[in-house]
Amino acid sequence: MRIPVILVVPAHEHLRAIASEAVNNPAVRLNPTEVPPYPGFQLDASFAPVPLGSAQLGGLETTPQQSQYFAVRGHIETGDDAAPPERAGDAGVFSDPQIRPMLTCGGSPPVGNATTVASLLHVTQVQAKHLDGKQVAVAIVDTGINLQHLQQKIGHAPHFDGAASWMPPGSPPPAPGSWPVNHGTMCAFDVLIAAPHAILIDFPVLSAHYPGGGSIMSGTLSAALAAYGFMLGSRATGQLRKYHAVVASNSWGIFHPTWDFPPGHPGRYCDNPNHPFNIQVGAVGRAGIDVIFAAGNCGAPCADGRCQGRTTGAIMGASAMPDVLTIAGCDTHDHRVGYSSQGPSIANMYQYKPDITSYTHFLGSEAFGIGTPDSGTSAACPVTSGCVAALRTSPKIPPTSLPPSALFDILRKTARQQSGPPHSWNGDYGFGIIDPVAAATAMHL
Amino acid sequence: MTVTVPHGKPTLAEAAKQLGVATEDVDAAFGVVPVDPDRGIYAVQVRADRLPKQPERPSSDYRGPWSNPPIAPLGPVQDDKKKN
Repeated sequence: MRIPVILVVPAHEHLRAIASEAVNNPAVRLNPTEVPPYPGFQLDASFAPVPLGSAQLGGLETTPQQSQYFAVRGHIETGDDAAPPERAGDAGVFSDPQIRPMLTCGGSPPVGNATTVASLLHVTQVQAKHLDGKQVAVAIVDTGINLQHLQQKIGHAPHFDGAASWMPPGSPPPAPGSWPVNHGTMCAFDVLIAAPHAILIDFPVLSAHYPGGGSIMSGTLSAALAAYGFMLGSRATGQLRKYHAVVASNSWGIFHPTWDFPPGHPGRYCDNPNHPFNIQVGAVGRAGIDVIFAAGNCGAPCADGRCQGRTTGAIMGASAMPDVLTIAGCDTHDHRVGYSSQGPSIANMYQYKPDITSYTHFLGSEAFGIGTPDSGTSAACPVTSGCVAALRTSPKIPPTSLPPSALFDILRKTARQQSGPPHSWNGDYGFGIIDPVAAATAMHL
Repeated sequence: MTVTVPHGKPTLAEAAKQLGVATEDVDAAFGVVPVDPDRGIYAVQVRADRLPKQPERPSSDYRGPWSNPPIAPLGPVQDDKKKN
């Protein structure tokens, strides 16, 4: 087996000369015939020797001229089960392992901030095309929005339509826009990064208190069913009719199939395209509403604890329907966050999920406290929803002429792929990181 | 439960009749919710103990009961020590 290694070798004039030249010419190469041979070692001549000084802890004199030892790179051959040698002649043999970026996980501090996200999305260029969310409603399907917190964070009152919002049953519920600061407020903030003039609409399904419903941070699927039923009617003949377009942002889901009916039950949700909610999201899309769903937080290697260690087939339910745009998460270094659910989807559902990736884990709303990141695929979803709302500002692409399915196709085709061939899909990023400028250009906006 | 009605949104009574339950057993607060109006599909909530006996082998026009699982926000990420 051929393995990469680092050799620590005594100083030699040729090593000193190449190391000195490499300071100004990194492409300089060693001459293998001028380097002392080391048994079993194949030198990588493209790697300029690195002066190590005395090669001792705290050692000094690390200039090429003064250094007593140098590091060179190459390969050695070993048996499959044999340990690598400790020495090659008078050189020490050291491991040269693969390195990878440290993944951003749940407990990681924020990586960048909302301004960083706006810069990465080239929001300035998008807005220069007059694409800012004006006349586009974005329904935050979540825990409820707190407008006061948003105003404090962004410095002005966001556009909001309480009359078009959905009121869940309860005893009695807070008025639209007056919910406690929580997850929904985070999502609302994140929409406004790319679409500062979008009109926010409150759909607090996660705070609905239907019989059997949960706490303020969780509801049941029937609340979403009722809310989307309201949305369909309102878009057809009610308050939502007046908007140029409507986007629905959904940063919720189920974490494990045990939350659902048992496997094989005809009424199951997570892997059953015939479940009424999965049928409904298709109807909502055909009605011209852009439905965006977060992929989930059950990705390896740092899945949410509620995933119970299950990290394959973790994209489930509506997030796995072809009619919606499903969003994975990356940090502002374009690195997939370690908890973002990975495709393919759960069996029996549309497999090529997530569709695309967007930004999360940045300092933004601070809805969960000062210094806390907007995190989860929860944040990536509304960032995307804001991009979609910005694009929908254009009168050139009304949903009647460019339905959600066609817009989503353009977003997939113009995404920046991080690995694999261009325009290919993979389970970590989908078709790549959203690029609203490229999408706008592709649509001649 | 779901009902299929070709002529537009049914009333609670019409939905109950199709499901074989009494009108008062259908949740009036939930109402009749459009699922796919173009295909005439609507949803209602019915008390589980009032449902007629389901066939052992569901037919192709299965109407429920459909799962109504809890749903939760996808953030902040909770580690294994903070089980929901």
